[in-house]
Parts: sequence; structure tokens; C-alpha cells
Amino acid sequence: MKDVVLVKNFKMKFGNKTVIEDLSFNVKKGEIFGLLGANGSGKTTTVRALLGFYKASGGELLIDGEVYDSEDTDVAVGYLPEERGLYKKETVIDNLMYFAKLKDVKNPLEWVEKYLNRVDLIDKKNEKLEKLSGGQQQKVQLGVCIKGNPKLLILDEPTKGFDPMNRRLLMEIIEELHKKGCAIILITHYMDEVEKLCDRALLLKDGRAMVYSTIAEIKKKFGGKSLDQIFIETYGEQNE
Amino acid sequence: MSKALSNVVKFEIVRQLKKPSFWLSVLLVPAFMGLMFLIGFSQENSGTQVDFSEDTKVAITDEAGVLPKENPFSLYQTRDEGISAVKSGEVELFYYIPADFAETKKLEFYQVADGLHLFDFRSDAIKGILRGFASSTLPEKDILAITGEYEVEVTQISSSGENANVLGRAIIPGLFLVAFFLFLVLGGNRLTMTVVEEKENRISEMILTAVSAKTLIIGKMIAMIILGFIQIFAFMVPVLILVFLNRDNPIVSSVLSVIEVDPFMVVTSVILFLFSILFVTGILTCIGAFTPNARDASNFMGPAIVASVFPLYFMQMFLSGEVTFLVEFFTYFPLSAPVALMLRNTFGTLSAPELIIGLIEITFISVLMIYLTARTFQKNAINFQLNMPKLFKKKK
Repeated sequence: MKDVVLVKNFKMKFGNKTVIEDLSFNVKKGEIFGLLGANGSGKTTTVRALLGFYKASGGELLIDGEVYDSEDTDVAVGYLPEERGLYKKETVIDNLMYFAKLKDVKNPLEWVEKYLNRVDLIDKKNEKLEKLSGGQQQKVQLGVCIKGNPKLLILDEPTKGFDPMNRRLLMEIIEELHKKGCAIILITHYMDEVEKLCDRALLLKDGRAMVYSTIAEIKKKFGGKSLDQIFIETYGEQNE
Repeated sequence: MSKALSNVVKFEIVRQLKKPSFWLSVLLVPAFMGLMFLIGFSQENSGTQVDFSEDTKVAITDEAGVLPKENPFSLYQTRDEGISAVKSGEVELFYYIPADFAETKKLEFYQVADGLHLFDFRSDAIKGILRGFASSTLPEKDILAITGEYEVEVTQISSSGENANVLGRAIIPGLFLVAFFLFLVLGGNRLTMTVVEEKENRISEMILTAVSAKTLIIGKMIAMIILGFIQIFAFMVPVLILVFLNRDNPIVSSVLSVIEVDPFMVVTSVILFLFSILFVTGILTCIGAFTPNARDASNFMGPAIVASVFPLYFMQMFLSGEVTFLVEFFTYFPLSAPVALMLRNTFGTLSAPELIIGLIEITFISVLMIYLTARTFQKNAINFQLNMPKLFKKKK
């Protein structure tokens, strides 16, 4: 199956500090890929380098076989970053319409209304974003990312701040996109989400991939332990 | 224009137009200026007589015979004598009342173009003088003429004896200077904040996966320039309508009567205006691209705007026509160059080589700033703290 994302011998340094030593992985079409690691392990840095926000110190980071450029790369990418926000003074519909138009979504209004219905925000469409609760704002942000059915979706801690209801809704949306063949990179600290959603996962530690395989193989390698236990064990070694 | 670019431009324009503060700022400035004008106008009218200093030498040629024989002014038999007296510096102000004044309702005023009395309307002093001397010995038509409305044609004569009309030629270039000032005052803050906003609200990462930094920045710049023009237009149109409706007002008509269109100065004004707009757009958006939030941006934006309008504090120096060291400095110092060049063009002291050098400097800096803005925005999109350049860091 064709690689939507290919990271080869990626190295990243900030001054004298090495954040990523040597990292290689791929994400296939229609796959949900868990990018895991402790805080500061380099997950967000990897994604930012993949999307061109950082220039890699070495190696290759490709989306659909080329270095990503938001306007030139053919593959539609949705990105829900860790640090996220939208135009607070604008209405829900204006925010969504703007991003939909930027990504050349066909019939943007139809898509936006369908999405707002789906996430139960249709009655809030003319409200300014700042008037919405944190969870409601997150749903709008998610809408911005998944506009026009992206082929690659990168979600950096998507459920942070979501209540259980909205978390379930998000999972459903991720699964829907997965079924449509979207490749998804999921960065999360919730291992139950990884176990439930991901096909494969990579556990980052000290700028290297400590674990990189299918969920089943990872669990098999660690004697059937849960991902939570595996995570604690991997990082526990570091702390001892 | 690409689809993405037009979407950015449209979004930025529409959201600003929907803000009440956008229109409030447009309307408050002319309202305030109108109020100031009305106060000044009422004071001007209530006084009627413009006070001259005791040393002011005033001369009159009264062909209409409306003045009494005994009066404190120098009297010349002919108009030419009076004009010669102004040229030679013998008198400063000369009023010519033609024989057919009562019919034409028009008299002439000549003064030395020293650049210091452009807007104090000394031409209207004759109205107070004539009213003061109106007596029953005059024929009724003359009394009606001198106490009624009439036009005073103003001619400025330079010390070399040429008809200088500094005021008349300065009005149109001056309007471009006013328009630029409005652009800076009403839109300067917006230019910086529109670029900071994405970082401030943590939108940059999301938007930069939808559109490139270059498209976003160029789109924002185009939108901000269009919005600036909308504000200038919204400001100027009511002012021009007011001027048109009051065209018979003595002050307005005396200003309108001296307007002189010097094609070179007008073309230069348009070029300088457009390049200056590009310049401040580049500078102020660049500040937004370099800084991580509105607070840090304000620290840089304020001094940049003050430096840009600084030459206006030295208006008198520019008016005098003397090209001093300070005038030269303002002309070539990058931040003050646009206003200094426009001021010098307004008062007719800008030479062609200086204009060319100034335009090259403004263009170079504008292009550099726009390039830096697009590059820096991409690099700084995820920089949420202001980092001092390495240049200022101590080496370990």
C-alpha cells in the first residue's frame, strides 16, 4: 500500500539540544497511526517538521512522496495542532466557511451545515466563537481540520479537554474518516484510544523509536501487557 | 489572483467591515476635525477683522472709491504700482478694489509668499476694513457691495517677484499627505495586529496547512490596503461634499480660488502616496510577523508610527522652503522618508534627483519588508514568545 507519510532518518536539533536523534517511520493509506511518547519526547516537533514549520536538521520527511507545501501538495491535509484556536471574534459559520473555501471544498456551505448538524452545533452557527464553551470550540476546530475529507489527518491530543460524550463523538468521526481511506496520525496520552483506534504505533524516547509496530505485535512483545503498562515500563527504565 | 489569495482578501475585508469600530474610527476623526473647524470658523467669523501686527505694511488701490480719503493705509493710484510695491518688499499686503467692484463683487489681494501665512486668511481682512468704513455718503450699491458677500482673489508673490501661489499649489499634494496620514492613523494598528492575530489566537498552524504563508501575508496586505482606501474614501467624501455645499462660504471660496494644479507635483504626489502606503504596510506587517503577540507588537509599532509622522512636528521647517540638515535627514531616514518626501513635494522643495533617490529607498525597503514578513511569518508561526536575536545574547 502506498505511503502517505514517509519519515526517513529524521534528525532535529535546536541549538546544541538534540530532540530527534534518528527517526524513521511510515504511515499508509487508510491507516490510523499512533505517535506516542512522554511530554517533550519530540512528537509535536516531528509533526511540525513534517508540515514544514521546522526545517529538519537531517533526513527526509515526505507527504505523498514530496516535501509538504500547503498549496502545491496535492494531498489534502488536516491538522489539529496541540496549540490551537480560531478567529474568536468571528462566527462559527464564518470560521468554518473560510477554511473550507481555502481548501477548495466543493459546496462549502452544504458541507459546513452538515458538519454542524453532526456535532450538534447548528443552532450556534451564527454565534461568535468566543461565546462558545471550550468543548464546543474544539468541535469547530475539528471541523476545520476534517473539512473536505482529508487524505491525511494529524491529530495532536485531539481529546484534550473533551467530555466523555464529545470524546466518543470524536472517535466516531475518526473511524468514519478511517473507513473512507484517510491516513490518520494520532498523538495522544490516552492509551485506551490508541488500543481502540490505532493499527500501528510508535513510541518515542530520547529522540528514537523505542517501539514501532502493530498494536498486536507491540502487546505480544511485551507479554500481553496493556499499552498503559508498556508506556510506563518504557519510560520507567529511563527514570530508574 | 489565485483562489486562495482572493479568499484571504475577501475574508479579511468582510470581517473588518462588519466591525462597528472600523466605521466608528472613520467617522470619529472627521467629526472631531469638523468640530475643530467649526470652532475655528466661528471664531474667525466673530472677529471679522484679522489682526495685523503694527509693523504689517498694508496698501490699497481703491478704484471704486469706497474708502474715505483719511485712512491708515498706503494708497497707490494703480494696481501695478501696488503689485510692484509687494514685489519690492515695500508693502506686505496689497488689496486692489477695481472700479466695477460693486458689479463684479470681486477684488484682488496680493501678498508676499513667505510660506508663513498660508492659512490665516489675511485676504479676508479687507472685508472687516471695508465694513468699518461703510458710510452713508457712499452710493447704496457700494454699501450693499461692501457689506455683502464678495470674492477675494488671492495671489502669492515670491521675493523674486514671481507669482508663487504656494498655498494654491500645496493644496492637492497636501491632500495626498492628509490621506496618507489617515491611512497610518486609522489603519496602522490594524496592519500589525492582523498578522499577530493568528499567533495570538493560536491559529497559525491550522491556517498554514490550508494556505501558504506567502499567500496569507500578501492577502492580508492587499486587504488592509483596500480597507485603508475605504476609510480614506469614507473620510474624504463627506469632507468634499461639505466643501462643495459651502463653496460660497468666503473661507472655502478663497481656498478654492487659489487651487493650482501643477501636473508634476500631482503626479509625484500620487506616486509618493502609493509607495508610502506600500512602505508602511511592509514595515507594520513585518513587526507583526516578528512579534509573537499583540502586547509585544505594540512596543514596536508605536515608535515606528511616531517615527513615520515625526517630520510633521517640524512642519514649519519644511514650510520655510529651506533645505536644512534636519530636512535632509528626515528625507533619507527610512522611517520618516515617506512623510518628509510628501511634505517637501507639497511645499515645492523636492528636486527630481531627491525624488528618485527617495523612491528607490522606499521601494527597496518595502520589498525587503514584505519578503521578510512572509518568511518570518512561516518561521515564527509557532513562536509564542519573543526571543531576543542572538546578536544581543552574551556569548558563553
